Amino acid sequence: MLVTGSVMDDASARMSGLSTGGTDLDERRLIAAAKAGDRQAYSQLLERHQAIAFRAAYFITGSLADAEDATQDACVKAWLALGRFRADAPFRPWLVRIALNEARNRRRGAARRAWLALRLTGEPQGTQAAASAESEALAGEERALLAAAVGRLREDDQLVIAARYFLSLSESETAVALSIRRGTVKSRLSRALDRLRSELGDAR
Amino acid sequence: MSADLEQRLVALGIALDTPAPPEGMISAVIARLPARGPARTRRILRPLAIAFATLLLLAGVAMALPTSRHAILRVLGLRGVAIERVPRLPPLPPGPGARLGLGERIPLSEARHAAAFTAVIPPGVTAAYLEHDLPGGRISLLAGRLLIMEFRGTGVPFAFKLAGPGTHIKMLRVNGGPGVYLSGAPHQLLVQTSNGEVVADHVRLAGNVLVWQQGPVTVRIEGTHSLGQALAVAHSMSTSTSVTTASAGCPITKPKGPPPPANALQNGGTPIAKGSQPGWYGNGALWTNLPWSTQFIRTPSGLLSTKIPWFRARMGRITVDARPLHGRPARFTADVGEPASYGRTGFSPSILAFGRTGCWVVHAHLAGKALDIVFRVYPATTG
Repeated sequence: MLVTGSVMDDASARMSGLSTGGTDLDERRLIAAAKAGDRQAYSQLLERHQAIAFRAAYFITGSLADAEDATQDACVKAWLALGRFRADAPFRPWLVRIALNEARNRRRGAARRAWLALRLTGEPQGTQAAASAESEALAGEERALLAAAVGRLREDDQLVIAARYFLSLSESETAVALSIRRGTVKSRLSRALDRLRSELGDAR
Repeated sequence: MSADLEQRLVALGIALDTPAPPEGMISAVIARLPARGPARTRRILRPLAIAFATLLLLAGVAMALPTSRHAILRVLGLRGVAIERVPRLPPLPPGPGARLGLGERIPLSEARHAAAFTAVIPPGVTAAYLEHDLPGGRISLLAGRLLIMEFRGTGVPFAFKLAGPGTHIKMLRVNGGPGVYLSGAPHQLLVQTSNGEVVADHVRLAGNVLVWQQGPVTVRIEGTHSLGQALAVAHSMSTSTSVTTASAGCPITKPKGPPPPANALQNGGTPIAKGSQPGWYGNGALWTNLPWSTQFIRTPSGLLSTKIPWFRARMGRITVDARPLHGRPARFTADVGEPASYGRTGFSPSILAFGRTGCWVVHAHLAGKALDIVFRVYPATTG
């Protein structure tokens, strides 16, 4: 039984510093203005959603510099594609999708499963500073095992888990971000959790 | 258990303390956007800087000709902007902050670092205001009958007068940077913000206007009666940068004392790897690790929030309150992790949200012992 509901999503969003999604009237106004070429409106849209796009890119690249490049390119491409974007559609998962694609394009030849494990071992990534006391605290043995287990999953499983639990996207947002049907999100997530459970069992 | 696994994944997501987007990333994106709107183009055109150069040429050559102004407005996409004429010099209104739309009044001691840039505070300033109508914020200073505004800009200062033939425009250099002096009837300016946007902005005070670029900051002086007076004020700003120090008026708490004991250095029963890193500050019952984050997020209710870690050596629930160190009170909320979620002792996260920027003192309490931390709240960096 899945329990990831609004309470967990809200808590996760608050603690991770990410804005919650939703296409409110103000956001629709901003999208419509941006589609008409209003760069200030687009800047406000990016202010709302740059954090989650950057986080998504950082999960994939594991590098600040690559994540920034990927996010910048994603934001520019999103602007260029705004003419084809429906003003009433959710902007956040759409931007995340583009950021994920840009980040994956930068991961040529890199270790595909290194991103979570490296993060929790506190190894410096690019210009990242040494791990803080907080991250050290949160990177306990149990979470390190869990992260390592997620890191051993195949890419599709990692992505759906990251979208739902690390980016706090809803099922419908996850579907947009990963370019899959909403029903596929449910089934893929269920299988990913089963495989993760097996990985955890193997690790013990 | 599926529920347990999902909860652990959510907790893991929180633990993945990924860095915030680099400051200025949106500005960089905006600078890369094509000059035209997304519906009319499919490829990246020239950098915005080239557009600035073109517009500056337009200013120098064409703004002296009233018939050209309409064309310039069309180029800027601001044809619908109303041109406001002021027939005579109005007196300085009472309650200038509210009347002039300058934002919230802030202590002078906070003005230099209240925005996302370092403001220059000239001598003679009697009041300071902070407004968030431009990216990075805008600092406004009152000095007698003069109004000085500062905001972050990324290129050549960009200021055109939307006025009739009676307006005179003089391009010049001020404090080593490019500038514009506008004399005659004051009306409106076009300003270029740090994200590359060109927006219309009202001149608040009657009189002449001097605008120039000083490092990363665009400075504007309104209300001067002559170019000489404007340049005298500007010159005072070129040498007053070092008058105020970064920590003036805000004695930010420094790390002190030994690290927390073992029972505080654990998270839900899992020991924290090392307590030997620097930055610990505690009172025997409660610790935190300094310096605190400088990254703030603006909440839907308008507060500036940031994530703060605590480490408990005693059992109990942490309570946190806070107040601005200077000036009037402001709102504050604290959302602290519950012992039921994080263990009877050990690590506990919190989200602290502040009503305004500036210097604050935070009072944390646990098991009858208080821990005070002074730190600075900065403008929001992400939405």
